[in-house]
Formats: sequence, structure tokens, C-alpha cells
Amino acid sequence: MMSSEDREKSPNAQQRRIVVLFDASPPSLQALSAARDLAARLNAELHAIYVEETDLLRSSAFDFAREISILSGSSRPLQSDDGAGNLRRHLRRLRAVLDEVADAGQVRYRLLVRRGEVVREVLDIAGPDDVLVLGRVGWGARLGRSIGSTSLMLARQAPGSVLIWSEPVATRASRVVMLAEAPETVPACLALACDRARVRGSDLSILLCPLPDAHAASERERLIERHLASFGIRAHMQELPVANTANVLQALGRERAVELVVSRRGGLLDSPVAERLLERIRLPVSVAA
Amino acid sequence: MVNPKSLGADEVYRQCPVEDLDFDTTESLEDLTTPCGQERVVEALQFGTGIRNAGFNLFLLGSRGADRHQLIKRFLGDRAVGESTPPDWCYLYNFETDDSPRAISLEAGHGRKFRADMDQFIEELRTSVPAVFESEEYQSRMQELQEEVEQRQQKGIGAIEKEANENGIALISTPTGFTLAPLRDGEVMDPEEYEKLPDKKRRQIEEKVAELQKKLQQAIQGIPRMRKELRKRVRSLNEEMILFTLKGPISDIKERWSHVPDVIAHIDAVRDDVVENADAFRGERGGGPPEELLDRYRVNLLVDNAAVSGAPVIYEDLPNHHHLVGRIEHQVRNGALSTDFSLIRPGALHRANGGYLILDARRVLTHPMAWESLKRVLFSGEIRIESLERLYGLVSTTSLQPERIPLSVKVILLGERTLYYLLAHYDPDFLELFKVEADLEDELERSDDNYPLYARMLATVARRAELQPLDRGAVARMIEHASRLAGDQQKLTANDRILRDVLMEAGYWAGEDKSPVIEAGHVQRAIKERRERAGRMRRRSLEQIRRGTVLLATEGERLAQVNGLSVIQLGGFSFGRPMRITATARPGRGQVVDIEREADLGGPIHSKSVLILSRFIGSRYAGEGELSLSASIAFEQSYGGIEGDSASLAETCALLSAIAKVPLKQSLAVTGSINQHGEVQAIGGVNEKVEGFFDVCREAGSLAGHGVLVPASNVDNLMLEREVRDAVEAGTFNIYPVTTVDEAIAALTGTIPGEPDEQGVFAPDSFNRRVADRLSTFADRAARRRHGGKRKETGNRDDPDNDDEL
Repeated sequence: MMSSEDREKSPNAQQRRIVVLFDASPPSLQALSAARDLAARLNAELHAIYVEETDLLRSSAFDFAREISILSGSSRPLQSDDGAGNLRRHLRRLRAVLDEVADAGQVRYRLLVRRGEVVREVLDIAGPDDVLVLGRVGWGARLGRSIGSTSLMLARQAPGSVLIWSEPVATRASRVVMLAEAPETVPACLALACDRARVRGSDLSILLCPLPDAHAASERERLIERHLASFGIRAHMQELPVANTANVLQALGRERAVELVVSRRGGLLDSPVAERLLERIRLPVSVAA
Repeated sequence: MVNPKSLGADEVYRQCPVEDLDFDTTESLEDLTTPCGQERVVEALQFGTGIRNAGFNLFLLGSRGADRHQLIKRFLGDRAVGESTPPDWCYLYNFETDDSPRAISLEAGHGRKFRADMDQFIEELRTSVPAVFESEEYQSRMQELQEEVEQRQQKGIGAIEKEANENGIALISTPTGFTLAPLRDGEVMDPEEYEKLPDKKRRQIEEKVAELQKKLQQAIQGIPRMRKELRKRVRSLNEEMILFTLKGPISDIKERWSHVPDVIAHIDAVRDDVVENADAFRGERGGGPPEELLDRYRVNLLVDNAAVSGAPVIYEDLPNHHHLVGRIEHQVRNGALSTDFSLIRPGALHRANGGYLILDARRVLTHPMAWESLKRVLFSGEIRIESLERLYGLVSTTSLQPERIPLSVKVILLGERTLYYLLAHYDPDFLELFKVEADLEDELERSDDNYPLYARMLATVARRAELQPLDRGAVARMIEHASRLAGDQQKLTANDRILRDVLMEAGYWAGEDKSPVIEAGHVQRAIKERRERAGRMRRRSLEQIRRGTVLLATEGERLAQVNGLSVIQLGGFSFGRPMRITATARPGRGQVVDIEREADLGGPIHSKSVLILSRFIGSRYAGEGELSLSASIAFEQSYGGIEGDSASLAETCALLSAIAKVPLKQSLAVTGSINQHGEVQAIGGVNEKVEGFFDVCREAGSLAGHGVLVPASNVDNLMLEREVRDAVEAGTFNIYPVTTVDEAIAALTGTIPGEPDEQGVFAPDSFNRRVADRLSTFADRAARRRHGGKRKETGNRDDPDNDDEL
């Protein structure tokens, strides 16, 4: 539950929504719990979005379409004659799970059901003040993906901040690590990083990506120090010689990172480096708008 | 025949001359190392404890007053010191069968060290193993393993997806699996558009979909095998990491315990178990291993002989089944009873293993199953812990069957003789298991040679009880009292517990007098006070006689009435109580009716004595003629049972008085049993009986010519109180030893009993002649009745004793 102190610090709490993409896959259930906790802390409303994918609907209309069970490998026909009934049953299950999870956190919540292409539908709903919470990957995990294309696209395109949730492994990890890029990305990214560090009760580390000129670097450092002072938080800073996947992974290991915070406005998230990085790390990733 | 001569004061009491004791106080005397007069028992104990063969356990038997515990504890204490200390015993978790904990033995004192080592090892496990699992290396290698297997899993599906895409088909995830559908422009084709495709194209697509579905099925069905392989590889990784971490601590312990194979085996089993339970050690979110898991590696030190020097000597004062063979405790977990090896508790047999176990036979026998369990363990030579509930099938909760522990113990049972003989008679196992009988002497010879020994015994008792030393007078008085307790001038009691009690009381009175030594007066006061404290019934009995509630004459003469003597035993105190015995005689069928027996108040020995006296009278006075006598004998005002034959002399005298119509002196009392020839035999409790009559006579008035007739064979048993002795010395109270009925008659009637001549005819005017003549008269009357058929004109026909109708 959200404390009174937290409420005071969140003037826009009434408008803010926590939007979570939810398809009942294990990663999406974990993301739902994380979103619930976040909503409770920010006293925000939880919006769970379920998108009935067009591809799946169409595939069930083929006479030859069969479903191969992931558990047993057995094959059975996809029932298209009662598509509406299937959807109703599936939604009942989703509703039950959502009721249980949300009630445990005593948060206000809503289930939104859309039909169409997932990314398009989510972007249609999420606004700039909303926090979008996603699982790293949905059912596509079975196909060997550790970061789903949907999650990556939403991280890159969402209007507000995004949290790509991963269940933490049991380690003595203790630091939230922020990846600092250009100076203009710093305020929003640092604000989110400080918030995440406070929530987790962790220390903050900042990885400084190389910048093309010294002026920008000093400006970034100035901004960082100013904002840290205003937040009353101290951080350990470390410069990355090159902002590539290997360097970032090593730095995260050294810092015993518990969460990574990056900015959407920096170039990194759009680069192939980010895709490789997100495939390799098993940490929650917060994306600042 | 002359009247029996009364005894002198020196004959009714044997004094201990103070001058025979050559010390001032017992302080100068050395302690007695072996029990006084118990050499035979000590030899039996030495033999019984020395022989190691099975079944040679001991039974130390003796009377109640003997301090068997002190004796055996002292003996075993001295012996056990020189023997080797037995090993410690531990119970450990059995990793193969968890309901059968393993028992291992370690050198005495090493059990504690092993337990401490394992506790330390567990602390190491608690911190080191979770740290391993949290390490970067482990996490990274574990991730690699998982990813590798996941990749292999997904590789197959990924290849199918690729093949599908290359053929314009989409592999779509559903909540419960996969499905395949034709693609167009990166999206699943609209089913209506699909229908517009040429048949050939549709057939190609559907065949490809069917083929891909088959491949997908095969790929998915291969996943469990890969998961199994993953588990195997994870276990190897865990083993590698744990072994590396625990290498140091395990090596240390193994090196320390290399001489004990059982410990080495246990350490190896622990190591394997840690590897097996790596997941549990990782714990929930860094919470560490659960305590239940760590507790399995602990040591239950069942028997700790670290503080024992020599062989253990254990006395179990509550020898029930569990206290003997140990027990398995249970605790409540989540509302159910559960147990584990750490809840095994030792019994006395465990603690005494390798040494000696002292038990009270009576207590063992009174606890359910204790005796049977003790026998079972001694027969098998192993201790098996079995709960009574399980034995009886009363509860069905889970329990353990701990490994049996080999037993080498010498059990010493302490008990009374009755118990020993009952067990020997009724329990066929008893003599198999308790082959050595150590029978304590109740009495010692009283001789001049034994005085110094007895004095040392008293000195030892006083010293152990932390009492003042005794002076010579006190020792002499104690010796005399010991003789009185033995009821024999030639014996001393060996019941040291009673002597110690008297000494402690004497010590108290000496303390009250602020005397540094216990003197004869203190001993005398202790004896007197003990007697007074227990004397309520005695005083009440005297009062009843004095007030005439109980009729008893101590003056004059009475026909067919004599003062008999009985002893009343109440707890540890006994006193003599005179009783009036009366008799009647009339013609009859030659039988003596024992009224006590007829009223079911007489015991079998008493009945036997009445039969004996009737046969004595018949054979002596009727000779070859017919005995026509109907007589009866009764203890007047006796409302309890009568047992024993010590009144048969008195009963004979009363009956003869009734037949001869000669009165008996009431100033005398009589005790003694007789045989069929009229000889007087020894009886018990002679001192109490004499003193009982003395008290009554004194209460009744001044003493003059009063006395007691006692069997001559009891003279050695006389140890009378000072007041009686003084009266004897003054001649106001006499003790007459008698050997025959005639002597008793002479004393009681003042007449000459008379000897029979060669024809068996007694001298005229003698007492016996009067008896014979009266019996002859009875016989003549009976004969006349038989021959004349004349009925008796008088007499009550309803009287069952009316035997005149012959």
C-alpha cells in the first residue's frame, strides 16, 4: 500500500496510471505483480491490457489448424466454431488472476480488452504520464527469445516511462545502475533512477557513456551532481570507455546491479547494442521518457 | 519333680562390660572398610562383579533393616574406580534409512568433541554453502547451463519456425502451445483469401503445415529428456562447488577422526547429503538452509562418559520401562506428532553400560513391563529402545527403530528375601539371569572378639552421619541394644540402618545436652523416646486392662484359666500383651474344640498346636484306654486373629486345670509351645512377652511373686529392660525356665505333677493322677451309656457339644 509520504511526493498521482500488458504467460504474471506493487506505492490505478491478437484469431479459422501442446506434444484441432466462447473462458481466467493479484495489493484496477495488433493497441492506450509495465517476453519465450519483440518495440515507442520486469535472482545484489547518455537525457533518467533506488532501498551507481565532446561530459556531470543533491542521494559513478554490450555487462556485474535504468531519448535504446544487452541481462529495466 | 528355679538378673540380660572396650571414644577408631560380619556377602559380591559371563548378575537380599544401598554403593564405588571407563555412545542420522538412526561408540570423552566438531561444521555449512550459491561464478555457470539446455530446447522449435517462415507459414504461440498458419505480408492470411488460393497451392500449404506439426511434436516430446539432463548437470555443478567449499572443513574433521571409521563414513554421508540437497541450501531468496536440514548433521550424544572416572555405577530410583531402556520423545509439528534421532533419550542401561546398574527389585516389579524389558535386554545383550505405546500398539504415529547398542552391564538387584524366593520359584528366567545370590546376614556373633569390630562399625556409622563420637559407655549400650534387637544374648543385629537411626537420635540428644560425645544416657534416651513415640497402642492396651475393660487377673488362683502372652507388631514396634486363656472339659468323643478356629479367628499353626496338645493329653492320660473328653479352649476377649503355637503350653495348663479341677496361679503368665510328648519348645518375642506381663502386674499394684514361665530354650534370648531386671534382682518378679508341661503345672499349681510308674499309673494325690482319674471317670460314663443305652437325663439336646449320647 502507498504511504502518506509517498502520496505527498506524487502530486499527479490521481492522473497517473500503471498500465500492464497481460496475456497470462508466466513473465506477464510476474510483470502484473510488479505493476500492482508500483500502483500501490504511487496510489495509481492499475490498467491491465489484454490484446486478442488478429493472427491467432485468423489461424483458428483454418480447417487444418491444430494446436500442439507445449506440455505433451499432443496435437488437437483449434476450435474455431466456438471462438467467442473460448475468448469468454480465457477472459474469465484473466479476470480471476487479476482480481487475486490486485486485491492482494488493495489497488484500484481495470481490465481492458482489445483486439488487433498488440503494440498498436497498447500505444493507443498508454499516455505520457502512464508507467507501462511489461514482461521481458510473453509466450514467445518458448521460441527461445529472452526479450520479446513486443517489449522492445514498446520500450522504444511508449510515450511515458517503461519498466521491463524480470524476477530478481537470489543474490546479494544491491545497486540500481543508471546508464547516463547525453546531458538532456539526465534529468528524467536520474529522477527515475533515484526513485527506483529509493523504492528498493538500494544504492545508486551511474555508468557514464562516452560523449563526443568534453563540454557535454562536464555539463552532464554538473547536471547529475545538481540533481543528486536535490534528491539527497549519493551515487557511485563510473565511466565506460566504450558503450558496448560487453562493457555494460561487466560494469553491471561489478556493481552487483539489481536494476538498470536507461533513457529512451538517448541513442542507445534504439541501437542493436540495447537489443543484445537486453537479451543477455536478467534484470528489470526501467526506461525513462 | 521340683518347682523350676527362677533366673537371676545376670541370666536375663547380657551386659557389655565397658572395661572390655579399650578406647575412650570412637574418634580414635578407624573406619571399617568391609561391612561387619558380612564377609560371605562381600565374597559373593567380589565373585559376582568379577565374573564377566552372561547371566552372572547379582541379587543382594536381606531383611528390611539392612542398608543394602549403602553397602553396594560403597563396594561398587571402590571397585569401579579401578576399572576402565566405557565408551561414549552417539546416535546419528541414517542417510540410507532415516527411521533407523545409527549408533556409534567413541572413546570416553570423545563424544563431546565429535559433537562440537559437527556443530562447528554445521555453522560452516550454514554460511559457506549459501555463499557459494550466491557467488558470481555459480550464478554464471548455472545460467550457462540453463541457457544451453534452453537453447537446445528452443533450437529445435526455432528451426521449425525458420522452416515455416521460409515456406510462408507462421508459427504462433497460444496459451497452451503452438499453431501454424499461412502468412501473407508478415501477417496471418485471412481465411477467406486463403479459400481463393488454387487447390494445388492450398494442398501444398496444408501438407507443409502437417509436416511441420509432426516435427513440432517430436521437438516438444524431446524436452523432458533435456530437462533430466539439465538436472544431472546442475547436480554435478553443485557437487563441484560444494566439495570445493567444504574441502577444508571436511579434511580437517576426517583427519581428526581418521581412527574412527564410523565417523569417517558419517562425514562422507553428510557431504553427499549436502550435495543432494543443494537446492535447500540455497534457500528462499538468500534465507539460508532450513534448520531441519542442518539438524540432521548434528550428533545426539546419548551417553557422555567424559566426567566418569572408572566404570559407571548407576542407581535408578524410578526403574520404569522408559527409564531403563530409554525412550523416543515426540514433538508437535503442525498439529502432528513427529520425532527424529535427536529426540532419542538414554535409559539407565545406556548410562550403566560398561559398569554397574543398581535397581530395587520391588520397584522394577511394580512398574509395568519394566521387569520384562530388563530381562529381554539382559538376554539379548543389546539395548533396543522401544516405546510402550508402540509395544502395545496404542498409537500409530511415526516412530524410530534406532540401531541396537551392545550391552555389557552388571545388574545388581536389591530386595527382600521373600522377593528373591518368589522370583526364583515363579519366574523361570530369573535364575538364568541372576545367578549370584548375595544374602546379607541379619545377625552377627556376639563375642568378646567382635566387640572392637562392632565398635569400629559404630564409629564408621557415626562419622558418615557426621555425628559426635561415642564414648565407651555409649558403645556398650549400643552393643546391648543390638543384642536386644537380635533377640539373642549371643547375637548382634546386622541391621545397620536401625542402628544408624538410633545413633542419629542419640546424637541429637547429645547435641541438646551440648555434649561433645554421645554417652550411654543419650543412647538410652534415644531408645526410650523411640519406644514412647510408638507406644500409643501399648499404653492403650495397659489402660484397658487396668480399667477392667479387658479382664486379666494377676492375683489369686483360678480354675481353668491362665495368663497367656501374645506379641502385637505395629510397624517397626512390637510389644507384649497378656491374654486370658480359658478351657472347659466334659465327657465326650475325645476331641478338643479350638474356639478360635471354629470362629475362623485361628490360623493353621495355632490349630496344629491345639491338635498336638489334644494328642498329648490323650496319649499321656488315657494310655491304652478310651479318651472320653469334650474340651474347648478360647482366648478371651480376642477379637482379632490368633496365630502361632506359642500359647500351646498355656492352653495345655488351662485344659489340665479344667480336667483336674485344680486352680492355677494368676500371678504367673505362661508362654511356650509343646510337642506331643509334653516338652516345652522355644518361641519368639520372649522379651516383649515378659515385659508385657511385667507392665500389667506393675500397673495392677505392687510386685510380689509375679513372674513368667518361659521355655528354657529361650533363656539365651532374654535381653530384658532395666526395670524388669531390677525386679528380678529384687525377687519381686521371676522368670521361670521350663522344659516340660509338668514343670509348668508345678509352678502354676504348687502341686506335685507326679510321675507314672511302670504301668503308667501316676502317683496317688498327684496332679496328673487327678487328671487321669477324671478322664477315666469320663470314659466309664461313656462306656455305661454305650452298653446300657441309657440316655442322659439332663443336658441340652441341641448342644452340638453334647456328646454324652454315645
